[in-house]
Amino acid sequence: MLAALAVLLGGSALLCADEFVISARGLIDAAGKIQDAALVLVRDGKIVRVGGDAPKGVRVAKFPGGVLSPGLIDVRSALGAFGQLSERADARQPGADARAALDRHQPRIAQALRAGVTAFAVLPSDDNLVGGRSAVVRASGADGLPQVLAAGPLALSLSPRVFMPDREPVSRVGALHMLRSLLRAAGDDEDALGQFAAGKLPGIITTPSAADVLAALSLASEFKLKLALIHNDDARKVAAQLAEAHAGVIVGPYDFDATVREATAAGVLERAGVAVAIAGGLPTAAADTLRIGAAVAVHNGMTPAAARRAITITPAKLLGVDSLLGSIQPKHSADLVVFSGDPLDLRSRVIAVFVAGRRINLESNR
Amino acid sequence: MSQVRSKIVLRSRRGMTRVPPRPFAVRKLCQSLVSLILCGVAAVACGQDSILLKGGELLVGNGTHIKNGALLIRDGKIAAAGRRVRAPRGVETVDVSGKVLTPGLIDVWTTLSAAARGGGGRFDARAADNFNRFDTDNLQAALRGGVTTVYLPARGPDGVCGMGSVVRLAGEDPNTRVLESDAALCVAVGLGRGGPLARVKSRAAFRKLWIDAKAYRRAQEDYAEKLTEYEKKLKERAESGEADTDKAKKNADKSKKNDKGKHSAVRPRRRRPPRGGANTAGNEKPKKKNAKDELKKPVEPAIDRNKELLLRALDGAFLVRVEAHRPEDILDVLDVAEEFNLALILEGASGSARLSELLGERKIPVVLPSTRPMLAFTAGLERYARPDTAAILSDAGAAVYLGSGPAGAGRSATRHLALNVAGAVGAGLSARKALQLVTRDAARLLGIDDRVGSLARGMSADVVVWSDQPFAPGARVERVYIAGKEVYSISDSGDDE
Repeated sequence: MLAALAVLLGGSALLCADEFVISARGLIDAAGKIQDAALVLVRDGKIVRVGGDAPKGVRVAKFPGGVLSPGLIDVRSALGAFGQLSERADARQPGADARAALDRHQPRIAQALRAGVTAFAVLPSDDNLVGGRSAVVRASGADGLPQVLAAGPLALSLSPRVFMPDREPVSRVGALHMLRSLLRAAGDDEDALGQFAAGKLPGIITTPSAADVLAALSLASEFKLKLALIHNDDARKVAAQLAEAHAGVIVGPYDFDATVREATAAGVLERAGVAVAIAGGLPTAAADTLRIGAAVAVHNGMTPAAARRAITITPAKLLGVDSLLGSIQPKHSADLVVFSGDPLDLRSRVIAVFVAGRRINLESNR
Repeated sequence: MSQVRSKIVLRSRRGMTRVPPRPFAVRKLCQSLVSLILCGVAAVACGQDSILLKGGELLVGNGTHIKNGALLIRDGKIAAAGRRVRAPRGVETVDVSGKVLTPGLIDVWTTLSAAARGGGGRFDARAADNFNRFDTDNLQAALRGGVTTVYLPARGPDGVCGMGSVVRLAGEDPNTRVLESDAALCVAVGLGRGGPLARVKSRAAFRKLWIDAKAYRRAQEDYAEKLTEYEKKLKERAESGEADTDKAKKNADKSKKNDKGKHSAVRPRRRRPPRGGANTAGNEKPKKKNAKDELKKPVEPAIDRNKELLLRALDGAFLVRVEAHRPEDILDVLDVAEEFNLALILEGASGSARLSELLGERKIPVVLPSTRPMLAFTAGLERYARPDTAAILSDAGAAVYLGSGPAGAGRSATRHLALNVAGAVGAGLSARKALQLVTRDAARLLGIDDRVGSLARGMSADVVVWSDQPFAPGARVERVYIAGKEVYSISDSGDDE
């Protein structure tokens, strides 16, 4: 009898813990705008409903002065990576997988999480032509440790760092030829390269110069690839082509000493109709790098709404996880951050962080 | 009477062709045209020097704000600022309703537009001479960030690097541009590479600077004493010798009178005895008592310009700004400053959070850079930094200031100074004081608060017009005035920024 009661109580407690409501002053929608009066119903780590009234008997976490934002996503980082993120011997590493480099106990992940970064992508570094698959990681899983969510996009690079004297390719001409051969040979393979060649798996390619951008775009149109480009130079030259190709661009990371040229690229691309994500560059950046990057972009011409998207939903889209992360919508993971104001306002602070509906302890041991 | 008239008549007729007199109306028209033109010129001249900014919210810089105020600029200065301002008729009026006016922001530590490291060991090398005022892109970007005045340090690897300067970001005339060419002595302690021994040497070198300077002063004072003594003795001797020389003079005169025309072998008498103490008054032998203590002129110590500069710093003629990061380096610097009573400002001070109580007690100003410590381990000195250092120091009562700090070549965080301050507020710094920190307080730190830093009558007209509250996201700088001249306007810049 007592046991039954205990089970019942335990059971209901579990149920209560898995369902709750977050109410705040404002909410950032999928367009990046701040809507008034937010209410989000969370169940089993997922968002069930946005708006409406709180159902009876459900715990409400109230944040009367807070603005509810999707968890921030660092689209290009090396956070939690243990050791090198590239193979020196061969520039082609289609089978490499960044998941292998992840050190789940890395304390810096927790630091980033306390700054509101709820998910991040670990990319193989840009010194391989084909770097391998990236890893999309949720900053805190059920056991409180980071959890690999998915094998992410294929990483490629046309950066000058690819060209080392003792291996192929040694030139851009060679690099593009090699890529074409690889993609043709991949055909319908099941592996990462095959999926990428078939347009099923997105890729992220490092293209430092405008010429690299155009080369990548021509490759994408030839093979019908889904491509996001990492480009930080004067984007005016290639903005139109990028918009036409519907290719997303990753800019940044931006710090306060970002040059005018770098920092204005975000706004230039946005105005041309290109989807822009701002990278965080963790851990070789401060914990609040994403917010600083967004604020710098806004100061240099990006619209605030696009800047808020650039650190949430756009990274999710480019990483191919936008059905689960990046915006506050039903069926999405309850990865949420409550800020004391607009996240673009650097005066605001992080008040609360939820990952998959679990509230994170923000106290640090520092 | 008739004579006078006739004289006049005569004069008017002489050499004058008869011109038919103009009609009265035309004459008056000409006169009024001329006066109108003159007035117009005067008005234009006045208008160029006078501008009225009307209808905006004034954030004075000391915490007060005036809604729907006005600001009158005249002759490069703020003639009036407040709720109601009396302006001369016809003054050029700019409608700034809905906008926010602030004093130009001041960046108290930046390497904006600084050419490659100069100085090279010269203590008196000035940062202002290193400032590239043709670095238009970066300067424009800084103006777009609302910054009008910056302090440029002289930088170097270790020890004294030179003199820092305070410079405004626009102005053809160097007198408008450079506010203080020798604002502070810049010293670096513990910045160089090398292990613990190098750091100890660096700290010891800092102390030695002042010890040597004081020794130099003592040597000079000694010399001065000895010189006065020497001259006194010479005078005494001369006086006692003069008694003899007077006699000799009389003799010489007599002999002169006697030997007219003869070339006198005796040199002309001089009142002051010549240098060297040699008695040339005649061929008289020096008195016996003088022969014993042969007077030697004291040797003047060589002038050392570097030490002269250090002495001026010791006397408080300018500040001493020391860049140090490690807590142990900072402690040592504080000790030295106390020992020699230096007007010290700490720069960088990454590790100062641990010393917040001490810094609060001693009230040493601390200038923090904008760079945030990265999560990854870094071997650089920034590893001592914490994101909330400003808040911790401020809570302990220390005087904290926010600057951009040094940056890589061609980079500077000056253009994002407002964002930097906003970030510090997010990390715990008081929000109320945020604007004040980069206007009035910054001006006080640099010793220029009599000229810039607040929207008050008599101050230089360094004014920024913002589209919104300066720290609100998306706020844009729309106009910038420096010394009353518009140096930036968002409508003119027209770039797709």
